[in-house]
Amino acid sequence: MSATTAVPTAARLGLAVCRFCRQVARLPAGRVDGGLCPRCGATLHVRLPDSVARTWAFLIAACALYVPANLLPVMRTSSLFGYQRDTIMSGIGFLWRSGSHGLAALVFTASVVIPLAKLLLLSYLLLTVHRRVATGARARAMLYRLLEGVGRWSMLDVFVIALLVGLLRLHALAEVEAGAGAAAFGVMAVSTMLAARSFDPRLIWDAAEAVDAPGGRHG
Amino acid sequence: MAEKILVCEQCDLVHRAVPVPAACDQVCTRCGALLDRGRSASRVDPLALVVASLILMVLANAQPIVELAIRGQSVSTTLFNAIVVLFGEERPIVATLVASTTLLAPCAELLAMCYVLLPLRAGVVPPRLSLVMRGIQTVRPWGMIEVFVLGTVVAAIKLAHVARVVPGGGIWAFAALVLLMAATASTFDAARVWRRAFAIDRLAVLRGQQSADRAALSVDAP
Repeated sequence: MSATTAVPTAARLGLAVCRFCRQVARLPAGRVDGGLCPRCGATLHVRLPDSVARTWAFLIAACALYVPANLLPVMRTSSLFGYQRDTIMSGIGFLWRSGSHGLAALVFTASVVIPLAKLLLLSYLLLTVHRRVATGARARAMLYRLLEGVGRWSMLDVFVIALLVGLLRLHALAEVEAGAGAAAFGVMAVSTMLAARSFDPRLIWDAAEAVDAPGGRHG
Repeated sequence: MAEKILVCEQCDLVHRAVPVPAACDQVCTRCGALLDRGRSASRVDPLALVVASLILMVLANAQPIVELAIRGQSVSTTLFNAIVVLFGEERPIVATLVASTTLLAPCAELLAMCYVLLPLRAGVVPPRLSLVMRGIQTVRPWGMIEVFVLGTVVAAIKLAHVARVVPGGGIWAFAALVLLMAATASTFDAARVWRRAFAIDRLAVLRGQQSADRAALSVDAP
């Protein structure tokens, strides 16, 4: 190692870590991807290809779906008392008014807070990568880990609806059906999860080090 | 001369591996990401956990999730029935999402682990081992049974306002399945699988991959 102050990253040393099996490999000289992992055969990449472009694509799709997911009804019930259309928010309101404050808060967190947080915070991460922000990298790394871990819980309401509809409809106990909002919401949740998966957190550190790592920002 | 090297997947920092107790998790010094998970001293057989999970999966789907007493009748549903209903009333997207995350992804993960572990136990490298191992990694994040269990609890409480709700055997089985699959995932040691496969028949492993001649040079022996 020469006497530089540069931090030893895999990119600098011509190494790549396999994203499937964590095997560390030395890339063929001068290449940044295209080599295969010697253990599991996956294509090696120094940075996830087109990470920024893909993440933006999934985020934009999720944003586009966010509106119908919240405006369109997720559940429709008819009873003697009339026809009721429930959106995500009205379902939460129902829980709150029926006294289940804790549950209302839980569903609110899962269905409103988490998706919104993912959209806003992933956009923030992408912007800091674009602008090569150098400070606060560790905090942003932890933020990314949080977003990635918590994303699956935004699917909560989809399962609630599936169970209610499945149970009540099966036995014709109530005229209940899942609305189009449920599908929009589910696809939006999946889209945010895909967005978090396509974001390469190493880009955060590249910006902090002013390293022009190849692959990540192109496309 | 090849000392073991660990590269952080989240910040790309290269670490020189130092001897640590086997039970310790190793984390990146710069960003805190997990580098390598610790192995507990007692070696539970991953195959046993996989088989147990599969059995539990069958049990969980065979029994009703919740039972409802309403208008004098007692009704219930299994997960599969709920999915069928969703397909039946033309909500294919929702039905596919639920089916994928509660049935397809977890089952695929369990069956893939079986596919890998059984032949190796018998001393044979299963064909397309690499593809299946990568498949396990790909499919794992899409199993969401724990979210499903919580969703059922929320739905049950919503129903409790209008009817008497009794949890069915299915929900307990699914809850146990969540724990069991977590245990299975942490016991399944991919590095050990690879070591065993390469020890048994290195060529068979490489033949199952796309093109061994394009392989990068490994930094340490696989």
